[in-house]
Amino acid sequence: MKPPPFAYCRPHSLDEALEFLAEHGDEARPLAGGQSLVPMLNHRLARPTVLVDIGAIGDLQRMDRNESGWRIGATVTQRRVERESTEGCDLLRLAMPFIGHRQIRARGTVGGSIAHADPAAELPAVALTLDATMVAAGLDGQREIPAAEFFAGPYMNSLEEGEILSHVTFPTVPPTTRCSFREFARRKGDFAVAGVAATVDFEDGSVTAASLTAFAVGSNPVRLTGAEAAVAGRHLDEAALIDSAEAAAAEIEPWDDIHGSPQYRRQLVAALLRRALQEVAP
Amino acid sequence: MADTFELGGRPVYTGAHVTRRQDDALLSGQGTYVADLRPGGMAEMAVVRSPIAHGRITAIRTAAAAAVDGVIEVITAADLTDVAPYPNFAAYTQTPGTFPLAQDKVRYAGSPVAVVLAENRYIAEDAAELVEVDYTELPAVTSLEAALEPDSPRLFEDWTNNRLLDLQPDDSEVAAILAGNRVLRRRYKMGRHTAMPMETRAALAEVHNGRLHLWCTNQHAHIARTTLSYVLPLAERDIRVVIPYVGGGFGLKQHLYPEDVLVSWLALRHRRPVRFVEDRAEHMIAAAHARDHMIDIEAAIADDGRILAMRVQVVQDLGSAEIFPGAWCPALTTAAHMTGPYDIRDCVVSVAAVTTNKTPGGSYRGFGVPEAVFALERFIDEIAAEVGVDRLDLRRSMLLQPADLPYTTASGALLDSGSFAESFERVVEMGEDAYRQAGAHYRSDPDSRVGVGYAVLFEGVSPTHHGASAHWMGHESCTIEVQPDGGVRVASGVTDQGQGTTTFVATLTADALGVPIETVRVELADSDATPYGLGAFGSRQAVIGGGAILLAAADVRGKVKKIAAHMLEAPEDDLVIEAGRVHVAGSPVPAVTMAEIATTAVIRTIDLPPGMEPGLEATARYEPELMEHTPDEKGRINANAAYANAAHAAVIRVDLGTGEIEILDYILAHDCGRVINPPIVDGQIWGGIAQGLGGTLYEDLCFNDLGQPQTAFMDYLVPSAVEMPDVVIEHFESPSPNTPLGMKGVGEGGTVGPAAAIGNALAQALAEFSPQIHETPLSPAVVRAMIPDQRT
Repeated sequence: MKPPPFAYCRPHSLDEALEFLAEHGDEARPLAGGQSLVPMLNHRLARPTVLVDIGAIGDLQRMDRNESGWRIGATVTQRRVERESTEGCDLLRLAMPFIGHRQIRARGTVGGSIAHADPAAELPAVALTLDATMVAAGLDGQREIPAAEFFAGPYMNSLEEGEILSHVTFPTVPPTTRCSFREFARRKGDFAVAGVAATVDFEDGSVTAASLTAFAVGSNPVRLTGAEAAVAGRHLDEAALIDSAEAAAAEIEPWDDIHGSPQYRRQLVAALLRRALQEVAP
Repeated sequence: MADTFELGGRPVYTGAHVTRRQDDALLSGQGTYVADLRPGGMAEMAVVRSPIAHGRITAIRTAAAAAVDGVIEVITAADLTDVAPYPNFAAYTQTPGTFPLAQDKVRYAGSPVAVVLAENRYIAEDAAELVEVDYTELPAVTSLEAALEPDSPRLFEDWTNNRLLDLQPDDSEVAAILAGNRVLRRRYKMGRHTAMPMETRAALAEVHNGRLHLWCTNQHAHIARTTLSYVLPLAERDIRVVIPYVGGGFGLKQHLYPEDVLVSWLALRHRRPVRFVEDRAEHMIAAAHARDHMIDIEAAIADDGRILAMRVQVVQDLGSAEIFPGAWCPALTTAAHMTGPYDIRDCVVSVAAVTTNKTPGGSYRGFGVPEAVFALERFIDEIAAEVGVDRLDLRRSMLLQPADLPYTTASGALLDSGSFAESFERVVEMGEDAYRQAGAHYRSDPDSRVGVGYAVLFEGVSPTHHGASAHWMGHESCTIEVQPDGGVRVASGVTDQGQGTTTFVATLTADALGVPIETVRVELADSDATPYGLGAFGSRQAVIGGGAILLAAADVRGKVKKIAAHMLEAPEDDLVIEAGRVHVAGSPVPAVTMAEIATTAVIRTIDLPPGMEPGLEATARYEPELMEHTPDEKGRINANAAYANAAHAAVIRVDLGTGEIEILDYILAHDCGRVINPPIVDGQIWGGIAQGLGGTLYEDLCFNDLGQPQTAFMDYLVPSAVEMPDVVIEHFESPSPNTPLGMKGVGEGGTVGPAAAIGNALAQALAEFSPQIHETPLSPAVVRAMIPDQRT
């Protein structure tokens, strides 16, 4: 569990970092909090020959609110998001304690987790549920990628070679929007076996909008469009809960591992979604 | 017994809350482990391991690895021309011929094939990737059921089957009882898990003045030394084994692993220090696994549910069995515990231990007993359900009562004392109360079901080593020396893996000599500094090591009194030793101090009583009289010096949506006879329960059909502080009449019961669904599959 040899650089500006990446092509990898990449290096599962540590780039450490939501720099730690106010973005706050352990969150970054695109990770699920916007920086400038297009398979994102995920904007929602984050893990802090994120708007007790996401049950987090349709316009009564849970269980394509079969993961998503909807119901 | 083993006076430390000796060092990060040792010129080793489970090695190419800058040498089995295979002393088993590096075949993924020695571990790992090994793959045997098949591929071609051990005792008497009664049959299985100590295995070898010094994490300094002398071309006198701080052994470190031999061989060859520190990825596949048992019970049942007779088959999956000492003994131990603390006079157990293409099985806390307790205690609950009697009353009708003791079990275990019925009733009382409260609390929660389950058990402690090695027996040793300033040096063959051995040695020595505990220095785990002993296994050290301490101390105490009597001109029998001073009972002055006595004994010998030999030290060895090493013609054996007992109760909540089991209350009543150090006893119980719960709910070493390990460390779910329930511990104390001070071992009782208690609680919680609960681990996925899908 020792990494193969690699070169290491720690630029102080985004441009400098992008130049390193351009110079070394797919031999180079950006290093943020290192909570996924460093274990992969030690297991020799990742073999970049150059690590570009983006931890000293001040612009990537900013976290501020603008008219569209919370704009969070790629190297803002998960722990900082957990501790600081993200008013209007309750789902983000609710999800944070499920990410690893406090020690991991103290180093792990928002951008690192999203770019890593672990199918069982919480932040990609939050990003998808809230329709977050990813900002990719390249030598040619910036481009915005909606969350729905960002995740391209397990541990794969849609960044081009030479691009760095520089910021993520999580839209804020009105105070009336209710949200819930539910995750089932074997132990506190473990990767999810299955999880569900939900934001729901109501008018007169009926659902006017629902954004429901399942994660850890497939290649990437997935919007539960069937379950969303099942609750649209309805009171969240027993029948609606059953319909949405059944729709969710039917529409996901879970994987199989030693912690659960596809069948079990369908059951988990059904149970978690039901509880999430019970929680947000007015 | 009481005459031979006594403390010599009123105990000051025994039974008191004496702080553990190593706590200061450990809590301030000062403990020195093998990985902290870094002698000048040290080289490090990386092991090239087989990526496949079963195959023939056709070629190994090492040149590219050897050419890497910083690589000292790359070796394979062919280089070890002067190394002998590990011996096998058990005539009743087939012999795997274990060798430190794979010779012609690999039999598990992780098997050591070659070693790269380099200036550091980074270089060694870089070069290890360049070693090319060609294999012809062979079909893998990946389960014990497959291994039992007559046409199963054989791991060892010179064997007649995959059964390393196959004991089929005469079952005609039990068969006759089964034929005339109602018979119930069940099969139980316990999964594969392992100890997972915080410190992985490590070894550092160095040559000093022509002698090999091995610092390692093994649990036995002397057994390791002797075994090295069997395997290496080295006289035993030229080997010194030292065990520094160890971060948990739990049986996993009982084995002398290939890497221990390889660092030694390389240090001798290159005349420079060589170190191996196992990383956690290696630990998952190359350190001993455990459990993986299947138990078939057939029992003749009376109308009221009582078990009249049992025929049992125990099968243990040994993995490749390439380990020393061999690992079949847990299956024998399972067999010895199949009747539990119940009056079941007719029980016959056949035992098979089979080889599969998985990591070798080995020792692990509990050592065959959790398997027996899970099977029997689940079986009793299943009988009660089947026959329609109360599961508690059924136990009561069979449990051994005080009047039944001493009682010899069907397997030959001599239960000389214990609180089987009393401890059971206590946990039932507390368990039923907790269950009622839980029921009331969750009554209105449609997603929850609650249940309570019980397990009552005895557990052999302080066993002979012969069952595991067929070579060593069961003694322990101790040397006590009083030095001229009155300070005491005590050296013993017992070892400390963090469980507090050092503290009990100091405690018993101080009380037995009548000196302040601060004046006692303890020396353990250095084969040059301690008399030959067998070290840590089977919850034996306090009982047997304690016996040796008391015998040595009695010798020294006798001489102290003789010298003091001479100095005080008082009759020896009138003297008492207290706080390091000797005086006539009832009159504290005049007194002589231990320093004055020891100075007389070793410096001013002119002042000794006429004719007395100089010196104030003694060495004693103790082997429990009633411990048997080999079975009688019917297979019966009293393999342990003592038998502890315990009763467990678990109150659980099952989440019907996720299948998760939450432990609401865990209650344990235990009895380890005389207690030396109450906090250490509690700590042993806590730790034991954590490991027992781990194997029951969380931990699972999975393999696919190709024999590829599927459980990485991130998937190996050792319970953390968050997962541990609060535990209520009730103490019973039934001293053994046959052990020193009435002590019994305490290391394993917590580990033994959780699977049975949780399994029985789950059966009650989910009774409406008639769940089949015959296997562990009881993961959420397994539990969820017991619950019908009508609710979402």
